[in-house]
Amino acid sequence: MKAMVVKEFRELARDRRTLAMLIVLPLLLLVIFGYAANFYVSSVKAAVVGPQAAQVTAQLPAFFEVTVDAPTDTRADAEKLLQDNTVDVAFVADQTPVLALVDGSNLFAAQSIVGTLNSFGSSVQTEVLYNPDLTTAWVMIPAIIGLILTFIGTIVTSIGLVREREAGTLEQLAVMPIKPSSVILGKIAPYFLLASLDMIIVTVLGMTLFDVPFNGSVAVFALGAALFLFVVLGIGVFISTISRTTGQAIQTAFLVMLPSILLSGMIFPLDAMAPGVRWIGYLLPLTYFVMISQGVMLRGASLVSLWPAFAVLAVMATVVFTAATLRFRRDLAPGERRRAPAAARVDA
Amino acid sequence: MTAGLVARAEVTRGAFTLHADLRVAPGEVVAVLGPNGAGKSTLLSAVAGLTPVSAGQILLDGDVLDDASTGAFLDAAHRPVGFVFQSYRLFPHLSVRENVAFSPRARGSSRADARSAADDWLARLGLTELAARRPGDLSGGQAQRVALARALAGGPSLLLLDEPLSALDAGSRLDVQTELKKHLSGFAGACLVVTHDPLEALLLADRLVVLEHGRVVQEGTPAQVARRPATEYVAKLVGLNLYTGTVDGSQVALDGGGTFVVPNHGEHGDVLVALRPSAVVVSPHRPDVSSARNTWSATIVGLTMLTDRVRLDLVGKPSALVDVTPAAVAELGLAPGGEVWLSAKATELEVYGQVPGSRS
Repeated sequence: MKAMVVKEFRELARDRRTLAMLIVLPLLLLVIFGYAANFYVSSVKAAVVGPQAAQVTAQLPAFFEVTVDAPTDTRADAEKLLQDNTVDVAFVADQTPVLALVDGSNLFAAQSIVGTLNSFGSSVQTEVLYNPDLTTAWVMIPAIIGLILTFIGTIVTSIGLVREREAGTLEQLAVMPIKPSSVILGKIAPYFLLASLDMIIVTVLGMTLFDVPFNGSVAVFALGAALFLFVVLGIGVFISTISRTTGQAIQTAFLVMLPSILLSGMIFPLDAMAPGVRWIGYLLPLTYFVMISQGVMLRGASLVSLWPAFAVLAVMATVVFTAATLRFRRDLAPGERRRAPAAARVDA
Repeated sequence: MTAGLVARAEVTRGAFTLHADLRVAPGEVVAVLGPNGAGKSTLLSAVAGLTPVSAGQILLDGDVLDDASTGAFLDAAHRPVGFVFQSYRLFPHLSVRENVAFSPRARGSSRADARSAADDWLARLGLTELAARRPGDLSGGQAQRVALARALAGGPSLLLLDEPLSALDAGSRLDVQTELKKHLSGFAGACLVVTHDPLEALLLADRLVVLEHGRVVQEGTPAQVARRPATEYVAKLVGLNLYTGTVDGSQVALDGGGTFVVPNHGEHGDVLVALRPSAVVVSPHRPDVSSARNTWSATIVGLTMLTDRVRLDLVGKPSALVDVTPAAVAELGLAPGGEVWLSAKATELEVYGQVPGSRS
């Protein structure tokens, strides 16, 4: 038995991926649940509009961080600020009691806001927009769409590509008269289409079964989804280039997906995370897709108001997809070190 | 313009460098033979375009595939090469017809034309009945023919086969060898077969090229190579005893000790001497009188049962492999440790020059 134990330790020491899971995963979970797992939002961004803005601002507790103080703005302006996700709550100080418009699409912040406002008694009238009943499903379904796309893009795509390498047919493709770019696009296209189909199905089911609204532009949503798909497909391709077996691909994809699920704001609000951990969330593509999907579906947010998220996804898609396909191309055209002119005839 | 494949190049992979120097004419089948690590796969990889050459060039029908001096390189996808891998690598989820049609489709043929080409090649290779089957439902020999059909359906100018029969069991190998020989002889382009099986090479090839340690050590027809092996490896492959030595009149002083009386040969200096195991006579005592000019004592260190004979491994000056019948083993009481006398007629010895990288 001792020999078996020693052998097993040696194998573990040489299996870097399993070691990573054994060491990195517990640390990751510790960090996440220590610093990130927090539903309590300590402060929210607030706007105060209307003629009595100054008085209302002076009376608000520190929980409400007033970032917009606009005495001449109206309720319509306040709603626009909420729709654009500029603030989490907008006080309309042109009436008594003061009207507090709460962004229901940001569930945890909204719950904290409503709880705080309830302590103000009858001096504040609360109206929750976009998710009036603060239904968890309304917030989760848009995020789950992103999760499904992540699953298909990383795990399913990487397995499909690695399987080709395991079977040796990737090397067969390398010696066939197909351009490497055609192989790459041909392999990825079905996953892109399938993921898109899955996305449509889940969105429609979410709307049908859970009454999740779709208040925004389908085109904006589709653009965000397409950009996000390119990112996760790129990650999937990249995983396939560093994995020799499907088991390795799944391990690596899991290590990629877990932070995405836990740190993207899908489960724990980003605002409630410690700053030292929150920055990880801002590196994850799912974070930005969740902003887009929740913004479009619940708030009807426009492309203009969501441009930062689109810009980040566009950059990620370009960088990740390009790097991944260049790496994958090495497997398909390993001898392509020099560019050739058309084959010259030689009298030998 | 020289038709066929011309490879005069160096290919470096890590610490290993292959010095390739071979030609394959259109319609010719050349087998590259060599031990593991000799550079056979490196050669195939370079010709296929998967590994660039570090020096020299590779030409096919006068077109430059790779030229280290000019930097010209035609990537694998654009080379008119059909490749049959050792494990065939059929696409598991495509039918036989779809696998074969993939080649012409990849070259830009329409679906109808590709299907037609596939059906044509399936008929030629006797695979029509298997057209709808999946690779998982095929025998080894059938899969090999499908892989060959797929390679040929693309209309290549050069066919590369990597150990085409190694995945088959011994029982089916002989039948498939015969069929493969028939199909290869009908191919108009150049064909390069890589193998470590001498029988496969001898049966399939018009010419053999032997690689050892990254260099061509011998080249010639199967008969030439089998009669006059240039290295110990080749001698073992073709089942000959091979000795190196120096000519001394009508004798050869062997490097490992001992001398052979040899027939007239016209060679000088360092030579190779080949002797068939079946040409050696074993006696329990020293023969008093015989026509054999070469007689020496040796000790049996091993016996190996072959199909119809027993191969004795003997240590002496010189050492030798000798074939005898099982009856002889029994009658003479041959066993490891036993001392015997060996005799070989001078006329059974083949003497030829010891030239590095010799071409027969």
